[in-house]
Amino acid sequence: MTAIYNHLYDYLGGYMFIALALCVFTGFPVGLVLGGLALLFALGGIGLGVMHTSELYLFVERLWQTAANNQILVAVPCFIFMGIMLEQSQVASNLLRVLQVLLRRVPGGLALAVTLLGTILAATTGIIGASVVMLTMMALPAMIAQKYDVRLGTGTVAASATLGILLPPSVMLVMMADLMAISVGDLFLAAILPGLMLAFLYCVYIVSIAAFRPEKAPPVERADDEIGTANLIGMVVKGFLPIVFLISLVLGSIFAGWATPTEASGIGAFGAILLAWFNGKLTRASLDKVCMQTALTSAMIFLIFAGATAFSYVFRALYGEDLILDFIAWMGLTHWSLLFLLMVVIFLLGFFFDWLEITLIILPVFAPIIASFAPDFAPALGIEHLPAADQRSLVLLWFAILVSVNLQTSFLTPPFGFALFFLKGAAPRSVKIGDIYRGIMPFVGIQLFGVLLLALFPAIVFFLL
Amino acid sequence: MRSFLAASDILERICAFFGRVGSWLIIPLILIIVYDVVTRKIIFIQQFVMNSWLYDFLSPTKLQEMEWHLHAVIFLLAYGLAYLNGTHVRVDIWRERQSERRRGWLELIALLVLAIPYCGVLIYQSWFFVEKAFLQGEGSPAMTGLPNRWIIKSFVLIGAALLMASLLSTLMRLAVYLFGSSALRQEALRRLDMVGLPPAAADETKPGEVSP
Repeated sequence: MTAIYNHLYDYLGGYMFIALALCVFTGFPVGLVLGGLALLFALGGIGLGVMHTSELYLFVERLWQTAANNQILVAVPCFIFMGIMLEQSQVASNLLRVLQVLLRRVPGGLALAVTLLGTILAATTGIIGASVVMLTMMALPAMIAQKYDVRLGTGTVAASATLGILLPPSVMLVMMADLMAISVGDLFLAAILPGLMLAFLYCVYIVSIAAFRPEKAPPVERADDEIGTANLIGMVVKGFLPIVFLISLVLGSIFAGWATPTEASGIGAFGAILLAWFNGKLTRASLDKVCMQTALTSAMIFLIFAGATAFSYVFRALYGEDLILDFIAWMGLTHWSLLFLLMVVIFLLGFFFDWLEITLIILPVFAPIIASFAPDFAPALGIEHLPAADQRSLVLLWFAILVSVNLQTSFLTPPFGFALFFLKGAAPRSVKIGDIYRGIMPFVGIQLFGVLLLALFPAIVFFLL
Repeated sequence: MRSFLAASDILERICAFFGRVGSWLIIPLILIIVYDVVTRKIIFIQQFVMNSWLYDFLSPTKLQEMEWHLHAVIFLLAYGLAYLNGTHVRVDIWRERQSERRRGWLELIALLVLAIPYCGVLIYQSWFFVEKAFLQGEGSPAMTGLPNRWIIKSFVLIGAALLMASLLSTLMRLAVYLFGSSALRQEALRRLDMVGLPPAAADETKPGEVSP
């Protein structure tokens, strides 16, 4: 008996993670699985005398403190609203038309237009589902009609559309900053160059495919597509102006220090309503739909929040964190191999989970460990002359960006990449899921290359700070 | 058994009603942020507002507290509806290959073992949470903030209760589907597509989804 007691006392936290892995695969909503397991293991902890029944009160108290009573997270519903509203306002389809006309002479022009549009949309929204569906429906049929390789087309769409999670303003960055107690504005700034770098790498890949394997991305051969210069300028102004206006409104006001991210999110949402109104797309029905989608998405995020905060509390109370720390100490890892290990773990988890669960469960455990290695990382980051507190926050910032790129990849990795499912749902019937899986592989490779570049050259992250 | 289905429909309508009311609060949330920014950051408007009665009535602290109050109400009121709509994230990789009946059983067991006890604890504890705030007359820690914090805190209780309503609604439908007569089963199954029982519904109800 004592042996069993001691074993459970030491390893109950470990079993909690195993139970999580098993239960999540039943396909029950993740937030409720987290909450339910937190309760079951808390009861176990109470049975062992490690926890007390009064601690169950903290399920509510922590839900309140972390999710509700939080000025930063007000940005989450506002950015969601902004994204869905923009999607409704059809600003994007005007823009895609302009880009396709502008790039019609460039090899792989159609695919490049998709990448550029994805990048621009990323700087306004961050709603992956909406971006993927939108880009798929607008661009994929055109690419297939132009005899583009289906795999290249689907890969381009999925990768470009998921940039929204990385490029500011992004809901994920807001939540990460909140969890790691770093400034949202700094994290937004730090994410810009890495995001643009990835977009650039996609473009390089597309152009080289178009140059060396032209049968995969044939050039457009329509002479009747000639448009007068005046018309073209008109289109560019009409297509770009609304988006540029909104991006500069939101990001500009944050980076100029004029508004907090929460304030900017509200202004951005308001701007999106205005744009929809200008385009004549603001009806009672569309507004109702956008509000409903926003509330549902927000509930989805914050139910996982509720479950995860209970789960991580119980996990800590059952000495689960000590278990992980002991394990890492036992392995005797250096700071670089620890970082490598974490990246591999997050990448592998990304096959099955998406950013929300990983951010909410993994980050609170591992961010402090990485932060404790800050002095070791400092020389590589060129920040060893700074005070310890600054070193810590810069290392966390860099780590957050590495995790973000890694998590963007989690949308793309088969078999369970959200972006791939959205893509399949919105694509023409002729597109097979197997093609989508194979098409995304080169882009997953680019993502991993991107993480490597950011790890080796932290200056890319810090350049704009 | 038929009364189970009727009761489950009533519960769903309750969740849908509150979810819908809550969802419209995003509009005042956006307007409050815009008003707050405009009256604080644009100097001449700020001067004008500061010297008027508006400033006492709508101080920046009150506005900013109102922002997160509304944010909390929006997601709490939608908890139940999001479950019934199948918006909550599921890891479907294994489940979607199971038969409909087996998925029904899985959902039933998970409801009974995980979700309902957890939600029950949330309701029970949030009752004390609200009661404490009410008895202590808790208000904002800031002098100029919003008073009567028990009002906003009671939305945690309401949100948990709505979640419970949606769980019970689904539980009753599952009971009819798994144990009812064959005619009732079909009827129950039709109502269960919101928890993703038919295979097709699995990947079409994700966040930010727009019907293609």
